[in-house]
Amino acid sequence: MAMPAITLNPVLRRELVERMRGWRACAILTAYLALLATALFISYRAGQNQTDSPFEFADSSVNQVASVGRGIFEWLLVLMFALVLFLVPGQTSGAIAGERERQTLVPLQVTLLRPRSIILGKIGAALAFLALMIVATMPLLSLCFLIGGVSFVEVVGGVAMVLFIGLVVACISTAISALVRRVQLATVLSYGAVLFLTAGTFAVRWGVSALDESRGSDSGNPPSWLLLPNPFMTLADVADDGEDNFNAMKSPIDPFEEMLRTDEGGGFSQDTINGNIVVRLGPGDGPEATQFDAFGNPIVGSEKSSFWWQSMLVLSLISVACVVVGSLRLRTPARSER
Amino acid sequence: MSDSAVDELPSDSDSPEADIPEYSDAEPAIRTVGLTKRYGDLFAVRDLNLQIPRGSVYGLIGPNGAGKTTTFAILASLLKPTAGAVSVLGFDPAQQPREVRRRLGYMPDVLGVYDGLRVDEYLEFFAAAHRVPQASWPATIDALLELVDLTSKRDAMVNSLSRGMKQRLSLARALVHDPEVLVLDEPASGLDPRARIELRNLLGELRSMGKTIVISSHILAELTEMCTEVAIMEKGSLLAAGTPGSIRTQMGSGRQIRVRLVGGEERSYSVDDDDEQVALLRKLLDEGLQVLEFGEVGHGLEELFMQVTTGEVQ
Repeated sequence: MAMPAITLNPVLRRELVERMRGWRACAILTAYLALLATALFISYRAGQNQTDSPFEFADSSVNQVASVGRGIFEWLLVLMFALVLFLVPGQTSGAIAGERERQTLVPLQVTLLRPRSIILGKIGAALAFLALMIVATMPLLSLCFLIGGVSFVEVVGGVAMVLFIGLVVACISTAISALVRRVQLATVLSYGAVLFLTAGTFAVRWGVSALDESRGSDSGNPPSWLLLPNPFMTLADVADDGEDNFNAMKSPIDPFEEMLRTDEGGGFSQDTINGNIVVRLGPGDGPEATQFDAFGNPIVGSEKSSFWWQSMLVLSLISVACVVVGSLRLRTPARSER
Repeated sequence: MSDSAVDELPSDSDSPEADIPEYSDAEPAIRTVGLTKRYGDLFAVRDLNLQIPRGSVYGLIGPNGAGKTTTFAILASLLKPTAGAVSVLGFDPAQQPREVRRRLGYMPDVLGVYDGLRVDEYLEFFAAAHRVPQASWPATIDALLELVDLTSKRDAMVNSLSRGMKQRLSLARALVHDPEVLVLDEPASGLDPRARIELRNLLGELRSMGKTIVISSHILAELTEMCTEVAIMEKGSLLAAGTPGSIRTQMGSGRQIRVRLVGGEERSYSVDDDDEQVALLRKLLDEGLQVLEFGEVGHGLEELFMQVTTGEVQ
């Protein structure tokens, strides 16, 4: 029986041909891998210096080596994440605005392609390139396995999160690209949106906290959901091993992990993420913190935070909204030229 | 990533006020009734009534800002009219854009080509975008490249083509789904004389294939040779429409005939129609004058254009 022909979105197909034919894709991939390889080398050497035997891991304790392996993994993951946050807006902000500037949008709009196909084709192309970047990173990430301290599931989870956040940023940038006429403006706004998600959400949370304190609250207690759209928090929650890593090398995820654990400080507070009452006698939700369900029963053996999936839900909704807005913007016939 | 149903369905529209009769093959390919497009206080197109017969080459003439491109954008289902009714082969571009796009090829006044593709890839992309069955792509692209005389450039990168070649490639793009109606906005702009002649010949070939062609151009002499009918627009309004002869009659303006005699003497006469022109020639010969040249002065459309328009832009 003949295989049914798979029809690739024409925009996606064209984007892939054009993108992979040029030198830019190769240059970006090379620079990306070079940066990651450098980070890997530096973190590896830093890890070596923190063990008992700086020259040979074999002479160090298993825990020490594992903590170094984990540190290297987290450094790589965060750098990968940061590079994706930096590269994806640059790659996608010209998706539609670039078509306008090149004057290729009108010929596209008078075809039978639906606006959503155009938007999804553009996002798909960005995602395909992102997937290529991540696949190219695999050999570097696999080095962590040689050292230890990271499980396969953690690596897959971390990489999947990078891909997911890349998709979210691609959706946002493409929508911005559809809304504005100039690539330059679209690029600025896309980076602005990423900046807001990564740093702006912290600023908002800090602002709410400061407002709380100024109103005489015992402690600044901004709602946790303010950080749900923050990609670094999501990544930290996924990559969180639940340990404090006292002896491990410091990783850039640590501050975010710490923030997740001590999110609501001590005292009595409503955990808005889980919907459970959390009584905190000290910082962190370790053995000192007890969670109660809505009926006041203590929750025994509470699981790891559900922050990451709620964050993914929020980010998914943002992405879908962006696709819808971008598609509406490209819809013709329109009242005015688009 | 596959497509699924979405949008393109007409949304909030200023419903057309005028009605278009039921479409039949005898009906014009394109008809507009009271077509108006307004941006605030500015009328881009005002109460435009056109009837473009099937198989005709229809020239839309007017100075910059006359409303030609806006009219074309409405015909091509890119813009919604503010008022009035439009029919392209019996379909309303505002209400049935996909039906119109299946049957209409639009070449905008800008080139807009993807420089990173080869010529055949470029046409394949638009064939896919127009849902042309993939099995027929090679034959379609071969035929189109031959038609626009780009067969030798099949594997060339689009960015290596000259402007004239890109223009022809754009025309091939507009033809990739074999539309019955072609709307060409300034297809000759920026072309050198040779490329213009090639384009003119190409349009003649398309006409012989039975396509209805609507074309705008600043090169009026070319339209004179190509168009079966013309419409002259200015400031969004239609000033005159019909064959050049009928417009001339509407304008009540005679033809200027220049006569050059042996010995270098030149004379000018004014006639109203073909009969008077024939009678004039007979009279000159009867008088025993040795006529070296006898012909209409200037290019018909240019004269008409200058007479009809005021040169003002909105």
